[in-house]
Amino acid sequence: MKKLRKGLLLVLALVLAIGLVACGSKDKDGDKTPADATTKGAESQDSSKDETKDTDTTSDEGASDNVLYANGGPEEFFETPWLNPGSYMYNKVLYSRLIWADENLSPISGEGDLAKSYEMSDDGKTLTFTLRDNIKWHDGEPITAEEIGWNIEYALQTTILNSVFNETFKAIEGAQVFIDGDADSISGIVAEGNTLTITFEKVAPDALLTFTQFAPLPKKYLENTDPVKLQQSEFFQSPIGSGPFMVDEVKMNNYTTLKPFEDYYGGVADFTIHLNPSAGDSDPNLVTNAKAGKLDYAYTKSIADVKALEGSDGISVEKVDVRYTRLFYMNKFDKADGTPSPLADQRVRQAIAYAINVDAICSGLFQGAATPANSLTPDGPDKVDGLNDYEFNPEKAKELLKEANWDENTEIKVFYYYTDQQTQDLMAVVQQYLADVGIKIVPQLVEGDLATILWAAPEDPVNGPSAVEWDMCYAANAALSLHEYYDRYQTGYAINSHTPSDSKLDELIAATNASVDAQVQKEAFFELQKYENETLFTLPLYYQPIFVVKSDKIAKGLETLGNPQFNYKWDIQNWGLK
Amino acid sequence: MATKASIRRMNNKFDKIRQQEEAGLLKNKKQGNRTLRKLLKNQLAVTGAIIFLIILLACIFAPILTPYSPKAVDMGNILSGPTKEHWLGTDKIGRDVFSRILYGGRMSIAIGFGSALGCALIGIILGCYAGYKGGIIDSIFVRISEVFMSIPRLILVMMLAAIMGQSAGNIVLIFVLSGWGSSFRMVRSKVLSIREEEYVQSLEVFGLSTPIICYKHILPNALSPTIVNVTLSTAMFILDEAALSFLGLGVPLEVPTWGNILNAAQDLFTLQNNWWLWLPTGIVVSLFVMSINFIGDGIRDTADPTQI
Amino acid sequence: MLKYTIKKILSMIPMILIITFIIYGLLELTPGDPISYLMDPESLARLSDAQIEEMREAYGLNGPFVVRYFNWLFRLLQGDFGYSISSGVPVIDIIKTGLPATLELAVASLIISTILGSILGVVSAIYKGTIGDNVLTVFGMIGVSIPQFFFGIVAILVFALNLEWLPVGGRTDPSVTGFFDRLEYIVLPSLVMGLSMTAGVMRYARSSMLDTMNKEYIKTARSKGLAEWRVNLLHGFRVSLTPVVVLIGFRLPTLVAGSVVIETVFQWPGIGNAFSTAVRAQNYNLVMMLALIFVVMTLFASTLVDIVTAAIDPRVKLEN
Repeated sequence: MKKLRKGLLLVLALVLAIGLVACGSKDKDGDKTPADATTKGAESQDSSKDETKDTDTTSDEGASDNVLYANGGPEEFFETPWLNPGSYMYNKVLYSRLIWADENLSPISGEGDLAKSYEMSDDGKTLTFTLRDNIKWHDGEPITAEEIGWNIEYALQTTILNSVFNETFKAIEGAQVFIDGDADSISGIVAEGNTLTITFEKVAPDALLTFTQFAPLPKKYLENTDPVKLQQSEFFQSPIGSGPFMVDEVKMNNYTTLKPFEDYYGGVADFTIHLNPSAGDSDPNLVTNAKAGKLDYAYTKSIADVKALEGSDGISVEKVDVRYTRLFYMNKFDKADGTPSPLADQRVRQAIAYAINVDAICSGLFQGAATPANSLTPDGPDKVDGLNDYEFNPEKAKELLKEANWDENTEIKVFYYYTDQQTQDLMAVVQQYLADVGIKIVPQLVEGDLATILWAAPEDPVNGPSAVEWDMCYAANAALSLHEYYDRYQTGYAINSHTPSDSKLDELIAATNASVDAQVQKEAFFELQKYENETLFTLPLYYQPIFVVKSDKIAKGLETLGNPQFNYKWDIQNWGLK
Repeated sequence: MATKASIRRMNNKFDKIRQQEEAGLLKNKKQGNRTLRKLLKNQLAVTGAIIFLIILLACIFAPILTPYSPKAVDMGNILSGPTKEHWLGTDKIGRDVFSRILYGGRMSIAIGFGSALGCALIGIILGCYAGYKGGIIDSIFVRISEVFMSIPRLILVMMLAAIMGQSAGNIVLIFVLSGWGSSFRMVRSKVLSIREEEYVQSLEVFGLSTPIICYKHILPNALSPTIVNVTLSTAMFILDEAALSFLGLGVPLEVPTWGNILNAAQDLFTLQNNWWLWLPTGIVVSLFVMSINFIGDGIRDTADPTQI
Repeated sequence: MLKYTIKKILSMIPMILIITFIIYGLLELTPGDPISYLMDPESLARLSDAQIEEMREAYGLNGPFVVRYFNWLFRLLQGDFGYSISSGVPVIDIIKTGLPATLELAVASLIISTILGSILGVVSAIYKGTIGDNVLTVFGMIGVSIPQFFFGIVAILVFALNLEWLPVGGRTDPSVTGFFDRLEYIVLPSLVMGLSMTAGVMRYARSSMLDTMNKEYIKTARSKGLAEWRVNLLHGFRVSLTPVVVLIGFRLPTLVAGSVVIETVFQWPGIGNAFSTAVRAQNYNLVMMLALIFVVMTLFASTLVDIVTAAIDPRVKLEN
């Protein structure tokens, strides 16, 4: 009797255990466990087809020979092209913009992308686009000027919009009234036939730049969605654009394939694109995939990746200088308890700059993949000559601290939010350097509501006290436009949690935004850079280049490299693969 | 006269024996010896114990074995291979790898052992009592332990880490919170079967108080699986700490632990070119974990060779 | 007995309620809110309070958490699992694609560890106390002693990059057509995961085998003059493996929840991966649904353990 019961229970247990497995795997058919698949080997032939979004799979012969492998494929959704306009490969190739930028991100005059031509008035307040006649969305519908105007209005209602776009669109006449809900449309946007005229209320210094990056989306799929939840709309599970490639097959978090768009005005590519999933611009599997021949084009900021790829057969890595500056924000507001900020004294900030050996950090920790910074503005024609480099000089640092009556017991709170090892190492190094001159820093990794922890601006932007707890904050500025570097230091700017009102600084920043003329802007930036360099209202550390990884499968194309995070005229539809 | 004195002496003697008996000393001693002798015959357990002791002692006496601080940055001497000064080379910012392994071991072992001990303590205290008493108290504790055991460990660890903040102390707390359930249930089920035995019933007849029966008379007999469990969970927690580092949820990166050291060396370039950054650490962690496992298995085999 | 079983299964329901409530509460306690993971901190800081409020409303994050918990529960009972906050995709779709992948990996590694563990365990029990026993034990222990992520990365380095035998990761590829093409994707992750579980199975198998070998009928079989290998194989092996197999079944839920590291290392598109990002992003609907699956599986398995122990050990009284 007892034995029988025992046996019965064992059987029961087994059945239930197997049931657990079976329940889970019932609601799909292609995914067999190795165990049961052996008996159904023949059926699994079609296993690669299920869950396919589009019906016409091009995975027949020939396709695999002409595939460009890239990374940045979607894990959960396609990111909208309105936040990081070119970070992801799919955002570069699925959409067209109105006009082209060259590899330095300067707008190309004359013929544009969706626009046949465009014209900016001399006062910088009227911008007119004339659209091409033969432009279509991937679903075959024509693209109209009215639709593009609608896109700008819609974009202003969303909450995730690139800040350069946002600044430009807000400068359009009637934009503020529209945002406040007092108008149904923006009066400064007028669409007539195939021309689109935009009138600005005040000068938008980055207007042209904006339209080299802003990708219009088909109105009919989005007009009934909630702009606040744009990213969550079904559209971004398999988006429809107007660029040289269109979505073919999506297997979220597994792979995504793109195929050439037959009606693209600029020519039809003769290859397809295969995207491995990866988040943002850090792909943990970049090296393994590249070495396994599963990556033909990608970019990375990681020097470890570059080192690991060095000398690999058929893979070349090229350095591209971009507007990417790592810095320490310096909080100069009084603390919440009323005590003055330890960094309010200019000499202390200068001492910190002298005490850190950025040269050694760049050549050691970053293996030469970073360049010491003397300004937020990266090296190049946009930067004034003769800035102080604050070369490593601990004696000078000590002297300055002595002058400033530095109290060695003061603890400086340094916040950082990057979780990578390199940041951690950098903090250890900086801590050591500063300790050597008698400055004690406490690095702290912060998580959670970073918007408040890092960028909450004080109620009183002149006298403080500070609304954040940090003294220094390690951060990165990736700028599309130079204005993005400096605008944030203006008095009362939305995310200025660190710099108290400074009329000289405000004046200098305002000057950079006063004109659309490139030369005038440049002169204004020169003055601003000198002031920045002298007062160190912020402490730039180093410039980080981006490395473009490319396999020799790309036989034709990519001759001139631009910033891979943004869109420039790279003619991908005319690339040749071997 | 003489008889009275001798009776008193005898009484004293018996009292002493009773005291010792109650304290469980006599039994333990005898058993300990036998277990030890048996354990010594188990080659793997002995080898394990030797390796374990070597690594443990090296970590404890780290300041004597190495002059370097595990946090001392030396930008002038980065990524150097093993030399006379730096036995196992230096890392990306010039810190001495050997000293990092030793100090990292201190932290990893402390986390692993501390968590295992915490789990066992809670498990013993609650499990013994609940198992013996039964009734409502028992069902309440069983329910609570079930709740903790049924929440996937990762979710518990991730959320607690986010709520409490990442630190070595919190990791131990999180490990104990998420791990005490199994040792509780183990002790309890052992006690459940022991309490039906005659000696326990006779103790009840004598009217001994519950805590004494529980912790003095039942516990020693239920202890051996707990000891095994402590050793094996120490090994498990050390590996868990490493896994958490990998997921970015572990001890803050600035604290050297074995997990953090390995995690820092996981890129392919380092793997292929700077073997000293990962191989020695990998070997030490694996050897240590393996040796603990052998000790645990050895104790189990000697205590109860047929136990599943 | 039946009454006991039914009682046990019914008692799972309040447990599930309590646990899901706790998890919901923990999500609530986590600093920050889902909004802060939807956009970078700088863009978020630029938004006005009204805009943030509008977003919270749109994502259903306003209201006391108890109310939101019960809303979630009632919707769940009506079969509405909600949408992922980050992608807007129905949660059920994410689970439909992710769970099979995770189960596939879990089952594969379960099979590997069971076969390898049983063989090692039984053989080492037969040769108990010899050098062979020790060698096998050390071998079985390797997998469980190396940190899993590290084991995985080194395995990729050796087998995928240096030897080029196997793909570096992923689950399938557009060019994959046959079953055997797909098989090569699962080999490395399931081996690494399987090896790390081998030691546990081996332990069970070994002691179970030792136990059986001391049983009377084995001794009888031996005394009848049967060949040693037949005694071991036919009688010992078969009998001793039964509990092992049962115990292995119970490990499945732990495996499913524990595959996060392996899935991350091998780019495996399962729910373990989805789960860890969802927890970080406080993606309520997704976390709750995945947690529910894990919890139900775990409870199911532990209820089974209770029932089986009760049946096997007569000393445990069934009625409380």
